[in-house]
Amino acid sequence: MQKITALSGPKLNRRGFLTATGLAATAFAMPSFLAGCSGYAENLGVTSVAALSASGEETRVSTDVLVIGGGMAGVFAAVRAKAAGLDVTLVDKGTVGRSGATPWANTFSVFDEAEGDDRAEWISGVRASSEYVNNLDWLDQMLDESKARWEDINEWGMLEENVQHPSLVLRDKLLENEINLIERTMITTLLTQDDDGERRVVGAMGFSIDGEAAVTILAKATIMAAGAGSFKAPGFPIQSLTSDGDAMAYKVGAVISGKEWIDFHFTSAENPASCWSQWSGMWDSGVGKMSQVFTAGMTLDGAFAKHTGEETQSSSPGGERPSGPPPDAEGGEAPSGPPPDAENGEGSSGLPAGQSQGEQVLGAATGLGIHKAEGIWPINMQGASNIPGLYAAGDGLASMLCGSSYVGLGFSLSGSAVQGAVVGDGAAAYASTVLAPTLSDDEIAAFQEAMFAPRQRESGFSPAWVTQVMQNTMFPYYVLFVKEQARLEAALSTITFLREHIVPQLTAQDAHELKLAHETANMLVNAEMKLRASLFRTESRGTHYREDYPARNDDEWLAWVLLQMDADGQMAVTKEAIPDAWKPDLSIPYVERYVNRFPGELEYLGLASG
Amino acid sequence: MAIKLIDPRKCIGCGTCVISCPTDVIRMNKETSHAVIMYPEDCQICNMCVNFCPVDAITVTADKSISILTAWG
Ligand SMILES: Cc1cc2nc3c(=O)[nH]c(=O)nc-3n(C[C@H](O)[C@H](O)[C@H](O)COP(=O)(O)OP(=O)(O)OC[C@H]3O[C@@H](n4cnc5c(N)ncnc54)[C@H](O)[C@@H]3O)c2cc1C
Ligand code: SF4
Ligand code: SF4
Repeated sequence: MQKITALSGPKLNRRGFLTATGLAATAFAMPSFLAGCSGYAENLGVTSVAALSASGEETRVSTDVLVIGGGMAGVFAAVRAKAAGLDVTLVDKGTVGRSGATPWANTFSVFDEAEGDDRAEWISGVRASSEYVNNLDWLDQMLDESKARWEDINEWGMLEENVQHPSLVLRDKLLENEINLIERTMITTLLTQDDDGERRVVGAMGFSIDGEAAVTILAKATIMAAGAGSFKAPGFPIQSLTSDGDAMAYKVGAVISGKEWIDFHFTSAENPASCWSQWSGMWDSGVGKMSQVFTAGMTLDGAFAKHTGEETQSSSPGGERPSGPPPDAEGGEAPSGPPPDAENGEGSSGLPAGQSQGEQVLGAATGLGIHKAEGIWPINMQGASNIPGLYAAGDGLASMLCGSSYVGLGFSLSGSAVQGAVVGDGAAAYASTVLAPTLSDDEIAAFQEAMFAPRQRESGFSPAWVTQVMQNTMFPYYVLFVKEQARLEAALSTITFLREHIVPQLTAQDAHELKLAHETANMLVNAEMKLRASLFRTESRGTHYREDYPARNDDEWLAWVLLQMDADGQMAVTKEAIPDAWKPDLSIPYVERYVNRFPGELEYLGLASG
Repeated sequence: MAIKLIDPRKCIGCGTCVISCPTDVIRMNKETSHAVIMYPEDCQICNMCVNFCPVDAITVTADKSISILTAWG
């Protein structure tokens, strides 16, 4: 590892000096509840890149394998790349073990034939719950390797009762393996260079959220393990996850998939912003093993009933909750408790253990897709993207281990572990074959200039205001839960306006707000992807319900939707067919092939009786 | 509302809450060596800070208000 410290540069100008003292004063005054949404305003903290680089220690690192994100996937990737004998650096916008989704998960799916698990039964359950848009190769990999990864985390000490918190063990593991760890550093940009006309990813750039100095990491291979993201929706503890990995990868030409699927966690009606009211139960138990697969995907009958005014045929008794698996099909259920009944999905209280018991409302994770079914599209079984040098793992990889709906408890956490390990191996093998990056200082300076742009604008829009406008556009149920062409197009027109017209005017007064500015821009990319993918898939399937196309269309849509930036910088949408061997048996009558019903579906198909 | 108080009489300045907050709400005041609430509007009410604080100095409540939206902010 090589570290370069930038000490030169102009002294703080008067304005920069005033800002710095102003910040110190605010720290004293504890300006609680001041900031909020100031909207269009003068940037009180405006500064220059020169002043920023003079005020803090710029970091430059050269490494073999860079891992972005230290959740379950990133930690496994880093440990495996290190075991291959390479120099490995892991960077996280928070602190490993306390950031992202991983600290909240308490079930880990393990497929174990020795314990009586039946492979054919698991495969058929996953296919049916996914509604056949899953990838059977990635499923095979998970079935083959989940037990070994479970044994790994056991050996690491993650399952011991006396640990302060299981995921803190992941951080210890990185340090023990002498993996270079850079925390509280927001990565904003993938670095690329052209080699003989081929664009290759050669590391990433970000800034420290404490000192605000630039952090540049040059790497032979880069693994995106930055998780998924929501629109900072209230009541689901992933507001630090804003689909940064997808947005960064999209900008360098990577293909992204899975954006039409939607996660539908609930939050409490009484205090919708409180993640703790909803999820405190997850802290009472450690991480437990799960061996269970659903037999059908989820339905949103409660939400549909509110929209149409009538119950649908597959409605659950309360009409409020999704039928099929529990509302939190990925967690919620304490591992020690009885396995949830996959048919009814809920305990006697109607809620899985670990969630609050009051009235529940939908939309706690709006912006999130299905774990393991959204993100960077792999071109091989080791998570390589279409851009050389860029890999992805875990929640940021569209492996399609699951398809249009969740398939079983604990798949997300164990899927991240399994994928992290294979992608770590794959990226290490690639890194061993390529030359070190040769990005020049000028090129690095240009990337820095773009990253710090919101800090240099004299006036413009605050990230908080833009985020709120985006939320107001995307949160209402009739955009992503009950979809329809005209409404999707209306939302899309607002989102593209924000991207084109407002993002270039985002301002940031300090490092914290600069993080928010980048997060806001990334969420807008995710929003646009969700809308375009949803418009493109002119059918309904799993968690994707189009009111104007309320049935599956197996002739057209046994396919994945792919998004990629075109030569004009616009978002292009295409589809890739599922291999014939993975399609459902089309000789089975439709209503038996798919057991969950959408409102209006049978009428649309001319199958309604009576 | 959300994160409400870091009690300076209890806080021993260990910095754990700062590194535990996923949304960067809390910072250290270098002068007083106490943790302070810097960006309360970004609190997601996850209680990470509360759970990891060794001296129980932090109060987080379940409610949160949202800023008013106007034409330009
Ligand atoms: C409340 C809750 C309960 C859950 N329960 C379960 C369960 O019981 N069982 C189960 O299987 N799954 C569960 N899940 C899902 C599971 O937690 C995730 O699928 C899994 O942990 C994802 O791991 P990951 O490593 O892919 O991503 P994450 O754990 O999300 O890690 C991503 C990391 O990347 C970092 N990062 C993001 N952006 C940047 C950036 N721009 N720069 C630098 N770093 C960045 C983040 O800080 C984070 O540390 C639950 C999720 C939640 C939120
Ligand atoms: S409750 Fe969570 S988001 Fe709020 S200050 Fe504490 S750690 Fe940060
Ligand atoms: S964790 Fe508690 S004691 Fe430590 S700095 Fe924060 S408030 Fe103070």
